[in-house]
This record gives sequence, structure tokens and C-alpha cells, in this order.
Amino acid sequence: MRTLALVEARLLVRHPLMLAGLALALLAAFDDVHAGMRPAFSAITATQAMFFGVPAFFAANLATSRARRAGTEELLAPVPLSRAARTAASCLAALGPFAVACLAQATALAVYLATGVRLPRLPTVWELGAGPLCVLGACLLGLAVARWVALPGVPLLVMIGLVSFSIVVNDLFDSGHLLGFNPEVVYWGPPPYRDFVGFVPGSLAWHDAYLLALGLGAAALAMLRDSSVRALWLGVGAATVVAAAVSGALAMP
Amino acid sequence: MRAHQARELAGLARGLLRWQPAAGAAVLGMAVVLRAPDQIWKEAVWSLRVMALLLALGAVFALDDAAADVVAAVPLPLSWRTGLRVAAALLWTLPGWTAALLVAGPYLSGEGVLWSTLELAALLACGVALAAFLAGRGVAEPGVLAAPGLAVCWLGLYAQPAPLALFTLREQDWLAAHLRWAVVLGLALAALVALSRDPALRR
Repeated sequence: MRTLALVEARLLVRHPLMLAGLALALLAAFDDVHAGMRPAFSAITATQAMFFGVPAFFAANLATSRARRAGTEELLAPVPLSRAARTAASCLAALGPFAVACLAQATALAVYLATGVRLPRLPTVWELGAGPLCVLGACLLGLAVARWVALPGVPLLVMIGLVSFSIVVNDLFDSGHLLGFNPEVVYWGPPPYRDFVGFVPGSLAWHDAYLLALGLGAAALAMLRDSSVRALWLGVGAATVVAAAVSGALAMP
Repeated sequence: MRAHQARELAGLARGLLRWQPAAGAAVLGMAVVLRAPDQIWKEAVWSLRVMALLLALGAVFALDDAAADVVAAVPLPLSWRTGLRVAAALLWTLPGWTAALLVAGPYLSGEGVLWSTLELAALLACGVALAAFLAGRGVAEPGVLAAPGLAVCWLGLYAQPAPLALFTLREQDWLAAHLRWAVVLGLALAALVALSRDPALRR
């Protein structure tokens, strides 16, 4: 299974949508960085979920559904690895894009420091980690959607729902702001939104725990479809839902 | 003869066209437009931009055709068949857009409505051209690939740095930004026309 996971990870990382997402994430990380401290801090902490996470979701969904779309699922039936094991390998493969996202964040931070980009302070590991965790969760959710739903257009509607939810909670700075997937860490202030006027309250560490719990929940959902021990994955899924609810509540100011 | 065949194909459209994603996208888009009741013009512009993206994402499924290989044998050329499907996509896109304009339009100037419609046209053309490209490469359900592709293209347009920005809200930059949108529209239409030529004529 380890070999299959490595092969799947390589395929996933080299998927055209994934490469496009990585390019967009890097473009967004360096756009406008010299315009002021607020845009620079936002660029490195709050853009990766959108520009890399959305393409990662679709890439994982298309990679997982490729056998079904090509009508070749029957050919995979005789292989010695069960469908559940293949799903597990695909879940592990999501660590590939996660590693790439971490590397992109580290590169962006190194370039910021080397070129003297002005920041209110150095971003914490929790602030930098939210983007890669979103990428991981997006891959796992894309995989789960591909495993459960064969209808064309459904992945699109799922992503539209996620983005809509994120936009709705994005402005709730006193309550549900950190329940979104790409929350701003700094206030925008008055137009032209370039001055740093303070940090948004709330715990980014718990926000990261919330994102991780949601991602693991998506993985459990994917495993639930094919595993012979459904009760186990149902239990894991329920535990991740509880963990997401608790960490989401603790993340709030 | 061609008109007769086109009518025959159009008669079968209900069973041949994948309209469900477009319907879902239009309903979601209207929800976004209606959700901004205390509309200032900036919110109205953004709600129309979201609606345009959703309508374009729904429209790319119009070129899905599991029977494309069978239909390819009819004397009606590919350009006509693609045109029929694009026309059908417009049939469900335009009412959705009109409804969105009726809700958000009063908060915009006439110029703003025109620019938003240009953005819709460019996104639609990009999406359909991408689907036509995939269909030409033998993908029976190009919408499944073209919709994520268009979403990522939209992110790419959105991520353009300030000197090349397309999604600007600064009124002094609107003309330049929409000239860029017009270029995108022109390129996408040219690609669509080229990709809709019958493969036999391209050899």
C-alpha cells in the first residue's frame, strides 16, 4: 500500500490543476507584498486555502474518479489490493500536496525575510500552517466526494457550498470568523486597506486543529464507503465531528 | 437540409443536454444575488461576478455528449452541432442573468451593467471553448473536466497583480480592466470557432 500511496501522491502532485494551483498560490503570496504591512501579512497567511486548496480539491476528485470516468473500474477488481486499501492509499497520497503546500509557505517566508518585506511580526507556525492544512483537507474531501457521488457537477456544488460558507463567516470577526477556511489574521482597516491596524482575535492553533479534524473527517467519510469495518470508520467520523466542533468553539474569541 | 437536421437535433435536446448542473448553479447564484439586500454598488458588482462565474460553470456541461461519436456521422458539421449546444446553454443562461440584473442592476450604473455582462460573456466563452477543446480530444463528458478548469482559470484571472487586474473595483481602472476582459472574450471566441471546425476540414 505504501508503494501505491507514493505513486498516487506523485500523480496527484503532478496533476495539471495542482500545478496551476501551486503557481497561483505563489503568485498570490508575492502579489502586492511591498504595498504595505497588511497586504504582505495577508498574502502569506490567508491566500493559500483559496488559490491552492480549490484546485487541490478538484485535482484529488478527478484523480480518484479517473477509473470510473474511463469505465475501467472492472479492470481493477482482480488486483490483490482491495478497494478499501486503494482508498486508504489515496488518503495517504494527500500528504504529497500537503508537503508541497508546506514547502511553498516556507519558501515564501524565506523570500520575505531575504527581500526585507515589512511585516507587523513574523507569522506563527499556526498562521502559516492553516493554508497547507486546508490543502490537505481539500484533497481528502475531493477524494471522499469522488468515492461517494458519481453525478457530474456535484463536486462543483460541494466546492461552491464550501466557498459560500467561508465567505458568509468571513466577516463575523467577533464570533464565527475562524470557522471559515481562509480567515484573515489581520484587520483590513480603512481604504486603501494597506495599513496594519491589529490582529483579529481568536486562537489560530485551535483553528488549525479544527481544519485538521475536518480533513480527517473527510478521510473517514471516504473510508466509510469501501471499508468492511464500517462501524469503525463511522466511529472515527463521529469523533472527528466532535473534535471539529470543540476545536472550532475554542478557536473563537 | 442542414436546417432540417438542426431542428431534429434541437428536438432531441431535452434528452441529450446536461442541464442539471446549470440549473443548480443558477439557483445558487440567485441566492448569492438575493443575499445582499443592503446592496451598495460594490456588493452588487461582486454578486453579479459570482453569478457570472456560476452560470459559466453550469454552461460548460452543455457540451457533454455521451453519443458524440454516433452523432459525428450525421452530415450536420461539428460547428452547427456545437452551435446548437451553445445556443441551448444560452437559453438557460440568459434568463438567469436577466433575473440577476433585475435584482442587482438598480444599484449599478448602465456602464456597470454593461461591464458585468462583458465579464459573463468572457467567462462563458472561456468555459465553452475549454469544453470544446476537451471534446475535440475525445472526452465524452468534457464538462466534468472543463468546470474545474474554468474555476481555476477564474482564480488565475482573480490573482492577476494590480497592473493587470481584471476584477478591479476602482472606477478609474474599469475601462482598462474591461478592455482586458474584451481581449479574453475575443481570444476565447476565436478558440471556440477554431475548435468547432470539423476535424475533417482541419486535416
